[in-house]
Amino acid sequence: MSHATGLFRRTPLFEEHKRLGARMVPFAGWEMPLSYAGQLEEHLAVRKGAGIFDVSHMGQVRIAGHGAVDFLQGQVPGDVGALRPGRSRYTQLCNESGGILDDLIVTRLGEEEFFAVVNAARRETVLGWLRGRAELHWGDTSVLDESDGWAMIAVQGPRALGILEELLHGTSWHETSPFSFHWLEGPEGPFCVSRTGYTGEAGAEILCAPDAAKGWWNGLLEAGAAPCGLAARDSLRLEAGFCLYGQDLDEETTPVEAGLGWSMGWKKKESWPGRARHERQREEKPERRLVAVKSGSRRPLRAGDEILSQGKEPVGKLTSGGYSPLLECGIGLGYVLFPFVREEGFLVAGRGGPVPVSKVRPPFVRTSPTN
Amino acid sequence: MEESKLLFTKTHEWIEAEGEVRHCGISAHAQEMLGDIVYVELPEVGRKVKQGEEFVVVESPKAAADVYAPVSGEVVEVNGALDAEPDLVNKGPYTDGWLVKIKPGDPAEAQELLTADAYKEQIEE
Repeated sequence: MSHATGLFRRTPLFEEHKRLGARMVPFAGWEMPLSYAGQLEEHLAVRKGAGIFDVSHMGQVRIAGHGAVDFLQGQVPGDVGALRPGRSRYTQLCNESGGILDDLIVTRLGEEEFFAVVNAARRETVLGWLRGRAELHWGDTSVLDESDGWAMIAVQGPRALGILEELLHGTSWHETSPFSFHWLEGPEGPFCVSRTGYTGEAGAEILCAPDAAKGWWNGLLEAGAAPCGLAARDSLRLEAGFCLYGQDLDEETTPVEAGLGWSMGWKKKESWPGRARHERQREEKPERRLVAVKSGSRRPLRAGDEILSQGKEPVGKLTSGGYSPLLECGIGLGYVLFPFVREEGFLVAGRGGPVPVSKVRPPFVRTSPTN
Repeated sequence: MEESKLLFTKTHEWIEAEGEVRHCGISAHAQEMLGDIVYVELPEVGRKVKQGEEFVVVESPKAAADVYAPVSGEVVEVNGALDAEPDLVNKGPYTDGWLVKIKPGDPAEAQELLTADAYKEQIEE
């Protein structure tokens, strides 16, 4: 959802962010809150209570019409055809060589109707790609950009579902499944509760009309959720071991290399762009693979830092780096050349010299049980 | 330390205006810009530094910032409390969050530094 105002687009919650004293920064063409009370405080609010994020900059795409399921099955590696209506799945969109064009959450709304939430910076690319492919498809599938019609607020943390229950009487949100999607009618029109998020915690993402966003936001605040900005969103997703498009994922990287094989529909019959390469990488092992590492020091790890083997040969690079407020140490994601992927430890060459890091099976921290 | 009795650099460090051994640190404005400080790399005691030389690194989750020696001299003490509590720099940039104590080599160098008021004007620009 956007208001056109100068260089950067603003979400319908812009005034609320200002009122809360947020530090605003440009992000993917938008003016977004970086933090309010401070990154660490917001991070811990989500891990111990509940936090809310304005994610209205994200794109929404509807893929619907005759042949939609066959069409989408042929676009993404995830088995979206196996979804029942009202269920969502994490998947990627890949180019012909198997590199990732974007990562997205696809929800099946009906037999021949899907809804996808895509990264703000990739919206145009995704739309262009899907529309071009739809033209070549036998069906009558349309690819609609609904991004301007939706505001989106994520509510995350162990208290998040309880807060939703206070605001929306009648539904026991604790009993709904992660990756379920609920289409509801409110006094201000339809809204959706999607049991998804990007923090590793229990919670949901609320999609509503732009005019209704302020009411939702303030209702969630009054119920005790802390406003959280992009900085906390980044450290939370990193601590949860989630990849970020543009850093850990790009057009040169395949989902197999990124360790996303679990999300791919290896058993489905349809091919998707890059499938042959993905299958080959799966069998023969990719040249490089994503690893998660943590250090023994409080010093944050940094994206771009070189990864060295124990014998000090360069074997890769960090694509995300930061500080884990829960573990109180540096953590990072990066790519390492294949034979070295099996090593248990590396060195990361930061500005203070090489520091030893150990390989971790993500997530870095255990989070609320419902996710 | 009283803010009005400190001298500032254009690069956001402060140093006490007087004394044989002087505390120094980063300004309230600098710590605010950096956000939550989670790590501070302090120099070795006894290190001789030149004015403007990078001698401390302050890191928040988002960025690492070099801190430059406000004057030439010798590092005579570092704030060891920052190892366990780097956020002291956020909580009290002019008090418990000081970084190092320096023994200035050339008192004339301090003349080039900004008063608290002049520094304030600079950051408001």
